Amino acid sequence: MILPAVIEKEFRMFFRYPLRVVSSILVGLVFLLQFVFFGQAVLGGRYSQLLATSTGMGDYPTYALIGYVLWWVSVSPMEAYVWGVRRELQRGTFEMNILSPAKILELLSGLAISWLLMDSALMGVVFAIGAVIFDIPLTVSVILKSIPIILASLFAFLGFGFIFAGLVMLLKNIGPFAQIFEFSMIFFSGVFFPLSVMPEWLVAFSKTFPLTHATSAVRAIFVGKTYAEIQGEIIWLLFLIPLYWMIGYLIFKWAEKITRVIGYGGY
Amino acid sequence: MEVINELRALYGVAVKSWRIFLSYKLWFISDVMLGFFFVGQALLIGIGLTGERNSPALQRLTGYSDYVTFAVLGFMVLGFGLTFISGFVWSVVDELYAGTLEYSFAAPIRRLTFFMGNVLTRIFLSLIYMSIYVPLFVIIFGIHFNFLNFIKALPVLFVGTAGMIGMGMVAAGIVLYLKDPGPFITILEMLVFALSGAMYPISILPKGLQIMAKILPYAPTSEAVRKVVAYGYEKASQEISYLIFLSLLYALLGYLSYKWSEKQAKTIGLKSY
Repeated sequence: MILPAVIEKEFRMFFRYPLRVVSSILVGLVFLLQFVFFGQAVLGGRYSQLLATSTGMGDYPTYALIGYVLWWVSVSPMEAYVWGVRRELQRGTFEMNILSPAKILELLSGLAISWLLMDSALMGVVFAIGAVIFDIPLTVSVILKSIPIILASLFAFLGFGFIFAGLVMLLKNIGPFAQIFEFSMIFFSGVFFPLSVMPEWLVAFSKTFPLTHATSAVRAIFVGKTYAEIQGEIIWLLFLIPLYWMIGYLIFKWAEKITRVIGYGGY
Repeated sequence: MEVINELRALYGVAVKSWRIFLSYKLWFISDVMLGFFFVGQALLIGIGLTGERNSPALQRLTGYSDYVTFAVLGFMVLGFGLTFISGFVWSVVDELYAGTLEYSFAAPIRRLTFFMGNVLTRIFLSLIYMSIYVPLFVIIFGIHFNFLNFIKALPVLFVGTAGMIGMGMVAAGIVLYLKDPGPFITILEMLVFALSGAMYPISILPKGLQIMAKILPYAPTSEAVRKVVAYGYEKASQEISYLIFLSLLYALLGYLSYKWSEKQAKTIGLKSY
């Protein structure tokens, strides 16, 4: 029962300060508003024919809201490993946890799952507020149809973030590196703009990120497409889930072996 | 002699703050890249939505048709403005969390020297960032603004600075009384960010938010700087007059509220720490 215990601990710590929850939601909203308002000011409205032609979705606030919420959730496991593990390393509690009879893999998975759940809840609130502010039409059927895609995406994001679990144990402070990488994902996955404005090689490279397929699939469902019509994106997602879990696991095992000899990243 | 001691203390605080920053050099790269991230986003969003480099809709609202230049000016004013609020409040919070604030406050220096030392480091950093951004933005993003007008707009930026320092002092006073000031600062910074008019004209915000943006010193500074750069001083006289009034008000408010909170702190101590 290690996993639920770690999740409970993280939830308690986060919700201990309600102002922290409010500030997290506000941070989420402000970043969203910056780009949506900018897009609307440049467009002089909310509908872009060019965006509709290149992505199938012409309503910019809806396009940006879906991309942004999924991006935030996608980087959540990465943040958990980078900041969650670092926090324990700085407090000197990481070694204690390692010495406990729990498996390190369980501890880290609990950390990532709890952060993913917390961020999903926060982003659910941001999505709801965004939908009200920008008057985005939502139907029960669209939401229900999106859920399986979102769940598959969460599994893919967990595997993708797992790569960072090994790195954070080896390197002392990878926060800035992770930040650069997180922001790069916005460019690579077409969160705020269509990927058609990027060079072809970059579009091809973007296919390796689960976020690209998650955003594309959910947006397609929002404009009324069926699962059959987005099967390409679904196949990509299902392919990337085991791939990233495997890569993440191998890197983690390698890092674990090294840290047993040289210690944890200089702490 | 007292002045020399105070200046030495100021230098000492600034050097300490600089060394802490430099101890993680990758943060510097990450911070610089953040600027490219915002401006790059602005360019790609504009092209992705309109297919053009200029926006007639933005020109009608602000007088700027080149949306990237518009965003760059806003971003630079915001970055400079956040220097003060962050310098004041994070200098308190970082030391609170590290458990060294009481020692720093017990040192035989003025509290203001402690704050200004931290702000000084951030101003220095801000100037380094600008010296990197301006030439690179011109080369990479092809932004075009009259450099003479840009230099001419600096006094307007300094007028706004007085108000921003005042607001930083108000925030520093509040921070001394909170048990966990981190989230409060984040909320404050996000409000400033959203209401600064850095990425969009505040005229597209709902009426209530427009009023809030007008009573904080950031959006009026951005608007005045943009207008001076685009049209010169004569046409920006209304914006400049309002900014002078607002900055004086915030400077006074900041000084009085900080003095009051400091007096309170001497009586009741630092909240919960």
